[in-house]
Amino acid sequence: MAQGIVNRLVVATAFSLGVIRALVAGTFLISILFTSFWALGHLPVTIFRPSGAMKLLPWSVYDYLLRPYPMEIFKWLLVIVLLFAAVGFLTPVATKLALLLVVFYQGVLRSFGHFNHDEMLAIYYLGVLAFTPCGDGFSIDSLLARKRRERPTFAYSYPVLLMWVLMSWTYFSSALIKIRVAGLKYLSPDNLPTLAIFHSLDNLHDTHFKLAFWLPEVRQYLPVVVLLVLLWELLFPLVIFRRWRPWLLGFGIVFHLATLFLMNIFFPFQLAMYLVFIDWDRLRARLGTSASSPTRQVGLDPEPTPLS
Amino acid sequence: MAGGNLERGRTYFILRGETLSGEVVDLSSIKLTNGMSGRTWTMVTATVDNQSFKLSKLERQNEVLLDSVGGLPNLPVAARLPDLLQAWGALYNERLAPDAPTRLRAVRLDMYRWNSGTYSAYETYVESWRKEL
Repeated sequence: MAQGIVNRLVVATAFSLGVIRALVAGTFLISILFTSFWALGHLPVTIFRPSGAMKLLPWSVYDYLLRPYPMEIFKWLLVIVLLFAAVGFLTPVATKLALLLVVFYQGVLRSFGHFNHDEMLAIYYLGVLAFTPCGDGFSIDSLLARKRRERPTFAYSYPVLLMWVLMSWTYFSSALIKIRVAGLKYLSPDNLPTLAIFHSLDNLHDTHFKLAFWLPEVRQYLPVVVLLVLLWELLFPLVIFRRWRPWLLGFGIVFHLATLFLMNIFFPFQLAMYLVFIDWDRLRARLGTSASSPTRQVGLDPEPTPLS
Repeated sequence: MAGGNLERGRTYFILRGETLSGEVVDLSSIKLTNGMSGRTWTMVTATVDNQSFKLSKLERQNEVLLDSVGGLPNLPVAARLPDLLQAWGALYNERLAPDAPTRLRAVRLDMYRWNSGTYSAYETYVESWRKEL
């Protein structure tokens, strides 16, 4: 019964799960390729504050690692593993190694800075992919395989639904914590302008937009805007239903762009993960590369009717 | 997640450099260490607040420094900030020719305060830390 519900909510195949694997690993890969680990290796270990599981490692590890050359080696190790995971080569090993190394890398960054959310969802996605058959389609492994693996649709639909639920939880829990911590004060007309201006004063943020200074002029309207955002976050779990998806994701794109221009805070990883909502099988069919998905071709499951 | 509170004053920082030609320029930290995207401002705040000295297990050099001053209450504010400014200065100069007049001779961090209560007076100067390169 559970399988039936999942298959009615998500119609995923080995191909679409493979595309998602390539996108998630590829997002980290591109980000890391453009990151100077050499520069990170210049940051003094004396300001490093291991957080969470990072405390389990002895200081000698960080004393050794946090130097330009070791960090550069670490970068290329990450690049190789993420490249393998993205193209789906030795996928079961590559995705697990990618998860391990990315978690450690993100731990290093957070031990210098703070526990911010942007990459968290993508890290969870790496975790999901590491333990699901994401190399069965859209991968070098599947091209090299002599015999196509046959699994029920559920094996590919369940991980995708899990990713949708994880994203829903990030927004839903964000709304809950705002309500729990700030209560009705969160709807104060000064909430957004104060926060936005604070993030626009220094030159230590990635961008230096100054639109925040315009917000006090329209402060009386801002509680409505903040309430709309709260409602959007609370309603986000409805994204699993097709008919709600364009509205909720569209609002999300506007929201994240607004935080960039008004608060100099941007969530590129989170936005990139919106791509898991694309129906890759349908897109492939439309592009004409295949009339039907590999799983359907082998006739494992009748095509489920998606819930809308 | 508590949101903004206009009644609460806030401090913030501007990273600047002094060039060999005597000019003062704003430095973009994200261009120096782009891996710290989205986190530089908290890294600086934690460094100024000596957070790396408030761990259950300290890094060896920090342990030595803490012992030499006689404990956390005697530790000056931003004790390890010069290390960070030195690193940023070195990275900035590394990208320039050895005789470029735009090379930095010092890096400094200026601290300002936005006083509470109004949408004005954003730039009350508090103090600076300077590191000669």
